[in-house]
Amino acid sequence: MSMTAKPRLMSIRMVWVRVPMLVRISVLFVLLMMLTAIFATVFAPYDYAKQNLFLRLEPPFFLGGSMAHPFGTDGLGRDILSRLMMAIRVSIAVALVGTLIGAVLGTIIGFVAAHFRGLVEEVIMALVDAQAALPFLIIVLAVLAFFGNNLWLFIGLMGIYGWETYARLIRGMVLSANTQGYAIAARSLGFSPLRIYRRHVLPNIFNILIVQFSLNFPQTILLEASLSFLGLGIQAPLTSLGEMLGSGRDHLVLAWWVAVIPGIVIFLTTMSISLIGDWLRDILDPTLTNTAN
Amino acid sequence: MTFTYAIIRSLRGALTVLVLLTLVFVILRLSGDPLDAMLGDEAEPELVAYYTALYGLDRPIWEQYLRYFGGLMQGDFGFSYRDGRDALEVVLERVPATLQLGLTAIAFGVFLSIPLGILGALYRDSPLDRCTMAFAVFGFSLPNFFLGILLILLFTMTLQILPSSGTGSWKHMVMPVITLGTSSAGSIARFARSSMLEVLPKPYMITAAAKGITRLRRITWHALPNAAIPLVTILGFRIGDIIAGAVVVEAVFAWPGVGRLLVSSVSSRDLAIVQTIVILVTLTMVLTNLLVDLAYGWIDPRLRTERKGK
Repeated sequence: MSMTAKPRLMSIRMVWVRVPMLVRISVLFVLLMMLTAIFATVFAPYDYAKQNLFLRLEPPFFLGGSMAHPFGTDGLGRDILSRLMMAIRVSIAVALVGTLIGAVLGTIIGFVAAHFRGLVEEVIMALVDAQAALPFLIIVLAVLAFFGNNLWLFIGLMGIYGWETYARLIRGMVLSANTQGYAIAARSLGFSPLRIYRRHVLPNIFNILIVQFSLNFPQTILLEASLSFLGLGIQAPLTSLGEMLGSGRDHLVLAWWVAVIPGIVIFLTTMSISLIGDWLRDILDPTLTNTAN
Repeated sequence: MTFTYAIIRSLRGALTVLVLLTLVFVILRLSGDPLDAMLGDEAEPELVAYYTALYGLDRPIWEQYLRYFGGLMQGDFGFSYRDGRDALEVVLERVPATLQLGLTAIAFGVFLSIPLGILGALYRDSPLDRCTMAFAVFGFSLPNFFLGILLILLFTMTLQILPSSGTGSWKHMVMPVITLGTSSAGSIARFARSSMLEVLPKPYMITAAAKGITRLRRITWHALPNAAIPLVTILGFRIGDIIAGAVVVEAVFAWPGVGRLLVSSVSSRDLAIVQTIVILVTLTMVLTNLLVDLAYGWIDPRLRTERKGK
């Protein structure tokens, strides 16, 4: 487990030069998205919801439009650049919160299953199987049909997405960690199970959690985008990347950019995070490193 | 054969279905009085009393649960609020369109991705391999609704050779099938490649080469069958993605299938329809996974003896 100690000794520049070019570009792009999400309201040239019906479907600057609206305007004359910044904030915030909830929830449930074994474990694994047996999009649609749509329920649903992968993963990792020397040593020293899990087992499986997180995050972005695209996720007047794409669909004939610009942002964001995730998996997952060597 | 294994596996599948049906029941009951949605807030008390007795809503919860189960067993899935028709009938009407789209998309995905993955593995690190991997990343990062819109822009708006919505001819199928098939094709290609890479350096491949068997025969007769084994499971997982993808793709291309029915039923909160679709999808998924699992043992004799040993 020297993996966790090594990077700390290296400076950021030493790490950076070892990163493949494509991953570097991805990291920069994701940073740009994060900054946009944080400073959306500061940098946006206009209010994202302000309509101007005299300036409907203005083209972006690269199609001869004016720099007053660099990415043009949408069907209600709203500035696309400003909306895009707000949409990036909403989409990333929802996906980040959702993925975090799923990771924490799944990790705790995985620990519980591995700790108590027996009936508790059986029930948890039956739930894991049940969730894995249905495409999550269908589950979300059913819950939205039963309870109606609201933002908090929607974020909660994003949180439930993916818990079962963490639960399954952590359960397996904890079961095998429990039989290893360091856990047995800690136990024979009389430490409480909670302390052993938190201070000894969790740091040892943290790498795998990080990898799983980076693989889940783009999936959550896509799930949010799909639902908002269908008109069943983030609702107007609030906006998200999927909502922008979905409403831009009505103007494809006259103004394709209204739908295509947010689409490109979704695509580049999910692709960047996936590339970073793949790279992280290659360097952090010890089982893969061993076979590569 | 592994008869016991098949039985145990089927029982587990049945258990999963049971858990999901119970969850649907719990969520239905948690979401409020079903009569509110059906009759509205200002319904006559007599009417409410009549339906309460008719649906057994005044009974204890376990009895309602048993009645719900009994109803499902007899094919009673409730009625659509919108037109009062039998929910199962409304949903089944839409199944052929979705099957047509889904199966063609799977076939398209498989025929595109498996050769790509195999060629990528055979010519590892060549430009062809890099293209395959780029296609894979592309395939699962590009959201299907966005790909659909890009295709519409290209083929309907610019080239004007394909219709953007509806059904009727093979032309209507081209864009939905490409859209639905591409995302799974990406991950299948990647999986086929790594599966093939794992098989190629195996001792039996070296033996085959030493015996002087031609390269083509070595690949088709020795490597492919072995590389295909793990691919069967990934195809099983893809079914879920295809179903979820169909919901979105049908919305993009106005394809009259189950997915579009689901979206419109969610919008209008037609709960009986939603419930019926959820149950049918569950059954499809559990059955496919069961078949995949059993097929796995049938394809790979090593697993069969392993299971027998247990």
